[in-house]
Amino acid sequence: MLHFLAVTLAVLFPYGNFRFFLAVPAILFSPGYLLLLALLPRREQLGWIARLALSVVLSMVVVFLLTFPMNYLPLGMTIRGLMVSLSLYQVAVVFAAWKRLTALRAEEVPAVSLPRVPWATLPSPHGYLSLFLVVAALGAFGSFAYALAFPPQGEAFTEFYLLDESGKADLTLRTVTAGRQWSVTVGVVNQEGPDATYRVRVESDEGRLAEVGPVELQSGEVWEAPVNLALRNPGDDRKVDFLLYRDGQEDVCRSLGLWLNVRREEERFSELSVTHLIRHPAQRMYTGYWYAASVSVENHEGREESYRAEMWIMGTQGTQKLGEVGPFSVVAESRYDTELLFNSSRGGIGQTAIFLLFRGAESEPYTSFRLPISFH
Amino acid sequence: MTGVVANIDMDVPAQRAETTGGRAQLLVKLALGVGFLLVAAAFLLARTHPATGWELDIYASTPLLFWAFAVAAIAIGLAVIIYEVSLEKPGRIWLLAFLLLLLSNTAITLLPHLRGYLYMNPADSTGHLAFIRDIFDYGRFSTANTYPLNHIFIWAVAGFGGMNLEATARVMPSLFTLLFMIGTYLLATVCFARRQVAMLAAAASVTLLFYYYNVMVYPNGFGLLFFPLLMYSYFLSRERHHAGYRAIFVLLLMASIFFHPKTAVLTIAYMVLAEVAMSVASWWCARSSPSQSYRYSFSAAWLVGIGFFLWISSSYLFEGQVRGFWEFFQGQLLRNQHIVAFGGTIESQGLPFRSELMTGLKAFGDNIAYTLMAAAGTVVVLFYLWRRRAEAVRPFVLLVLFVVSGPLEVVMFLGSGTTTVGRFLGSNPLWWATTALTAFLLFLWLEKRKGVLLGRLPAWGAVFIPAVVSVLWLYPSPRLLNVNWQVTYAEQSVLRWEMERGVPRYEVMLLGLVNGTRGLVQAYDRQIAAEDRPAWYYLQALGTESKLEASQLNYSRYSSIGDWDYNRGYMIVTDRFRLGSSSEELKAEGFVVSFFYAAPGFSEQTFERYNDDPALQHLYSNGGADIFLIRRDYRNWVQENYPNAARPSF
Repeated sequence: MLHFLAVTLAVLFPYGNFRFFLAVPAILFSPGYLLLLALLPRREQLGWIARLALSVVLSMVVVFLLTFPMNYLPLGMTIRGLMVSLSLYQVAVVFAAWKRLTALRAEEVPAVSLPRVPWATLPSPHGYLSLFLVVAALGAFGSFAYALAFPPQGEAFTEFYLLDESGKADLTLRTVTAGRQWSVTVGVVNQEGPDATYRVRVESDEGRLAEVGPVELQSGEVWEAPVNLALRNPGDDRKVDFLLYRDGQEDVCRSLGLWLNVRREEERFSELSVTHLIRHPAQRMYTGYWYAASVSVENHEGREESYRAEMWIMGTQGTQKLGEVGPFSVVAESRYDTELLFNSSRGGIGQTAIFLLFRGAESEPYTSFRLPISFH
Repeated sequence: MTGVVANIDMDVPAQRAETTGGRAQLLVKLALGVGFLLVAAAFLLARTHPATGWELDIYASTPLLFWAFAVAAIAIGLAVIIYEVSLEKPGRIWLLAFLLLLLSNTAITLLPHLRGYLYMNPADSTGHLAFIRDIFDYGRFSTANTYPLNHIFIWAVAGFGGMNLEATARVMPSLFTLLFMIGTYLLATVCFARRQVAMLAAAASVTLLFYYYNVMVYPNGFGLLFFPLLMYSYFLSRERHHAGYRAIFVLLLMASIFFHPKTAVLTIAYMVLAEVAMSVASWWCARSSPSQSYRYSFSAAWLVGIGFFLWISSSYLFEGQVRGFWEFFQGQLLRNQHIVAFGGTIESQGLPFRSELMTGLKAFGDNIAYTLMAAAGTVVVLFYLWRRRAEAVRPFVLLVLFVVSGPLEVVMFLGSGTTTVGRFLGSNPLWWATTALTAFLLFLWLEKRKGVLLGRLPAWGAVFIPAVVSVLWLYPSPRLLNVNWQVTYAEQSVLRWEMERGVPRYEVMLLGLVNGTRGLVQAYDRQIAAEDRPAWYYLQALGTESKLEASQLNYSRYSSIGDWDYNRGYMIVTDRFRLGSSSEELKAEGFVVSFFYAAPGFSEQTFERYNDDPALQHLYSNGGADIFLIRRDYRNWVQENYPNAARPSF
């Protein structure tokens, strides 16, 4: 009955230590212990150490055997389902144990015999040491139980990150125009435990570009905000540093960095990138099957432009065209994502895939992109 | 007046006076009391010194006093048991010493939990968490799950107790280690006629013989730790003709099927061999004592064999495993096998033979000592059997299982295609039987030297020294030319962020982590990812990390990461890779660690250079892990190969 009560309370009670202390013996010990009482009710049939160890192992087996068939039932395995089956099991096994135990004499029933406290010997060194030993053993158990049930919370930290306008970590290609404003989303998550105040500073070789904050975040709170930035001077590989400060400290708590290519406003160009090859789950590509390459084209030509992309494979066996996509139009100052379908009739490892971008009706490729590729 | 007191002072005082001197008893009680206080202090020390991030070395990061107290408690517990064994009539106070050993080992194996680690082992063990997560989310386990008993049990305890999954799983290796210790004692009680051998077996079980399988979630490790109890139940059921014992034995046999395929295969082999050994030994002894005749039965082997076949044949891994064994017997795998070093999926990276040997001795020195002692014990058992002594029959069964376990493991190891010495030796079934046989040898030693202090000392040292070796080289650390396998909350957070905010079509390069951890995080956050796939789907890519080379990432071959042909988007760098690869200790001694955990050829400057590499957009940082998005730059290559192209791309 106690077992049933513990199981029911364990499942009905909200999460917490009370539930932990109720449930763990109910699932880890009593199913096996009750079974042992039903199977081997006599004290001399099994010593208490064996009874203890087998109770745990048999509990494991009983829980498994009660749960395993649920895997093949429509409802599947659930804690409540296990509670019901465990309760039914325990009603049956308690009944069986009760029937067998009532047929025994009192001295035959398994019980933990508590030894006498040697109070009579207390004034002696033996008595004092026995008491010391008991207190020390209880202390060891107490500290074990405390450390087991209340482990430390784990490490504290702050998350700091950058996202693009769509809220994704997709800042692969970043070309901006000098003097024009562009935006990056900055995010901070406080995982420090206590509340914390944060400040974000954005810097480059042109000096401070922006500063946000202070922002107070409670434990676990997430903060995200767009930061508008502009760089005056054109140039390739310009770095913008994002620095996070916490609780008014002067030392940088976290730092991130974006590398940019800054173009003059009058400069016109197109960019090609291949971000992904959709391959077999085993990370291999096989001849005769169709695959896809994710192709992105950025149009900075100042006008809507038409493009066409081709994919070629180069290796020891020569060159072969695998597929093409287009023509497609891309409006000015935007990116166009598409998929180029391809397959190969020739196998080979360590080959190179060349992606060529053609602009308008031009026959010479405007730009190209290379990836290693292997067909098995 | 009665109350709760441990089993002390239960002997009649007159009897105690006869068995041991009063002063010695005082000393024993005092020592045990101090031992318990030391263990209590060890628990509190670990609890009050939580990890603040990823730690390269758990030994260096945990207060030295913790180790000193735990080892001292073991020394006291062993001394008391050996002292009691050497008495004419041992009392019951040795049980308190055994309890002390159990608590000491619990403190040691529970250390990651006590110090607030999220988890241990980012690879396989974390993959098991993903399997359990599947049960929570779908109410089912996948067809790839060939060891559901472990998962269902952890799921049930976590679900009932309202505990988080990692915390529940963290505790399980300690629970199984305790069951192993108690099981070893119980096994010795039914195998050996003298109670003192069982007491010594309890003492000898303190050595943590299964390397990191004692502290991490591995179903095959759990299965091995369960064997002493299974064999105890086997001997009980064969000795006492009572349906209750047989029922318990059958239930444990059922469990062996679902622990792990390896456990099931070993159980089948053990059941056959044990019956054959019992029959042969009984027949041999019966020539002098007819009461020793034995009626053999292979029912247990049949039961497990049929059950295992029905179960494993429903798994889609079945075909691959059968093929693996077929290839092994044809000799194909033997020709292709690369056995390299210790732990995980490990490569020894340019390690001199001497270092590799020393690392092996540290990791498995305790096993070697126990194997030698057990081998000596087997000689005595054989001698006893030769003299047709009936009490040698059951030890002979243990002997047979001990002798065949090694070759069995070799067959399974090569047949399954597993290629690491760490796995081969760490989860070797050879070890579980060594403890009882070692205890038998120690008993023979002490039996001839009763009351001689110098006689007890070697027996104490024979257990204590391997026990200390097993403790000091239990966790992967720079002492084993490895790095800590601690999984941090920061690592979990970085993977969660990558999954929530990353572009799905970009591939991910993990430095310091493996896809097992990523699979778990993704299994946790299926709803966020709007995906509905079992964890197994995410774990399929496990192992692809091994294709990386240091020269691709440390600027020795390329001036920029973007120059390297790499079809992946994100590069996640954790403290494990950063601190592990920069470790001066590892650089000096060598690396015996998987590339994706740490690798030679890196320094702190390398990782600082990542911040100055224009090809790397630094998008995320949490102090323990960073995400870089690789911005490919093919300008040089395109200019070289396509001089007529109008403009190079970025």
